[in-house]
Amino acid sequence: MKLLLAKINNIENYILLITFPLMLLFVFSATVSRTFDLGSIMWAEEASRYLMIWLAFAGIGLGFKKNAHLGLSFVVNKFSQKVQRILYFVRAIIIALFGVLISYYTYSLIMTQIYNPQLSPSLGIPIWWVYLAILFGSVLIIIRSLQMSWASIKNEIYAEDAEL
Amino acid sequence: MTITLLLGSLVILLLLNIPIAVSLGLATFIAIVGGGLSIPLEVIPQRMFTSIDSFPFMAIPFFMLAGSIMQSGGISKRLINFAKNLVGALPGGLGIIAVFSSGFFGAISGSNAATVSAIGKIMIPSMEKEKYGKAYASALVAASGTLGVVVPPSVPMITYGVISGVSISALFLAGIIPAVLMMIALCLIIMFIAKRDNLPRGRVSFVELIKSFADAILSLLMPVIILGGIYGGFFTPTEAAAVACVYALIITIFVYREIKVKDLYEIVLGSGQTTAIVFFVIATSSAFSWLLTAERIPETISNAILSISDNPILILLLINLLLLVLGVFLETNAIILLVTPVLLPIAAQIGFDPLVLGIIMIVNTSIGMITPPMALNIFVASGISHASIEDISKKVVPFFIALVAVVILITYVPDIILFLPNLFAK
Repeated sequence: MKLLLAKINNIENYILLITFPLMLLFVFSATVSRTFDLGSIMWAEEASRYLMIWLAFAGIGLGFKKNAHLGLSFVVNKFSQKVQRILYFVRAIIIALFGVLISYYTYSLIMTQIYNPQLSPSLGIPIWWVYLAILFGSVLIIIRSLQMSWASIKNEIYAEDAEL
Repeated sequence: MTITLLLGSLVILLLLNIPIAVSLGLATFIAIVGGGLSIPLEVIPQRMFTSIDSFPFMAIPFFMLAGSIMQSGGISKRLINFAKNLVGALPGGLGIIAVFSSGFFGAISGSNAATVSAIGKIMIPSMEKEKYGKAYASALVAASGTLGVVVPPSVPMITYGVISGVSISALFLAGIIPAVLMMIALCLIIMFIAKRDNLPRGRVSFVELIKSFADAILSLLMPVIILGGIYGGFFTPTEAAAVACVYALIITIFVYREIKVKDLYEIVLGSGQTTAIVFFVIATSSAFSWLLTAERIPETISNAILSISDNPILILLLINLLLLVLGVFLETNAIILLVTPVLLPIAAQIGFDPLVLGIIMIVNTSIGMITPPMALNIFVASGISHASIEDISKKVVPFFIALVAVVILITYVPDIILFLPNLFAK
């Protein structure tokens, strides 16, 4: 399980490391070629946009892992340690629920697209390849938030042990 | 009914410390299901997709990458060194250096947090050495960090430009004079406190000034290339941002020689992740905002505001208050996405330029970042100095008041904002 999670962690990194430089390469070369009248690279804009969508959704899960998404902690912090731990658990479950909802409805969108394929205007690739990024991102949200709740349960056991 | 569910669930989720992006998305689900609306729920992922499927938005990751490359390339110490030789001899020298270097750094990075972290890491320890209190030094850097999004390039300006249709390059130009006013306001407070507390001045030499300028010039040229390129009609903002990345790579790898190719791995991962965080907020805010518009809620709110009064002075005051309060609780990009549809019609009604509205929104929400509880700049500064959030918040009050004075000034004398865009439009 740990190994699998570590692999998924690396998948996110690989996607960022592939998409970001490619985006830059496409946009920069299209800019240079247009500025110096070498002709325009028609597909560069679309390709870089789709790469950006993959970049954005693949990176969301990483943000949960490092607790980097902004939230308001000032109310929660007012409670006792014990209540805070329960609230932390509730929080993880709510985030997982969001991940489940987005995954489910994105899956439904993708299925409609597969049966009724819509192709992108300039590259001619199926649009659901890009929608897949949202599914990927939302499944990662579920995994990361379950990891968070698992950690909070383990901490609780640890804390009780410490009290003994 | 729908609006009660939407806002009610949003507030509860936010108070439970659910990340802002998730709260906005879930509140949208709850309102559609609970309000019994005949809207298929697939619309939510679909809005999330279409909102970020935008070429102008691509300027955000590119500017973040460029800023991050420059920061790893040792740019902050060069900018600070230049600022030190430029303004270090003034009373409260170190504080003023922090303000100027934040302004310079804001011209390379598009975000407040990045500015506070880049400048704070160097300036907070050196202020502590010169008997500035830990909390005061942190408050000073946090307040200077508000320049990050007002000095172009700026992430929220890109967001506002995409949402409102106002030209991003006009917004970039329009931010310059308000940023200068903010710098002056901050420096006045710093000088006053320095005189009162008898804080030391620095010494500068002309030779050092020239030397440090030569060392910093390549970095200071970056914003010139960005703005010049956009205004000369060579690039769109997104293209300019891509060019900025390549420029940053060239000078940090070949001229400054402070980053190696393998450092790029961490830089790309870091700015990729920050991009994802910003886009996640933009994506779910767009779904939320789409539902608001579908239910004609912005129209209702703007009519309600206009029915209170049609006095522009009063309405502008209300707008500023609303933005300041929202800035205390929400993330900047979320505020822009949610509030722009409400404020644009009001602005049109009272004959207020959408460009001016955008700058006022950005300055207000930036000040929101030094007002607790959602005071990102203070969090970052506190992370560096280990002074408590409460202590920093107390010391930030005079800076807050000075910055609010600037907001009031630019709200009621909008020609200050329009001066540069008008000058270059001709």
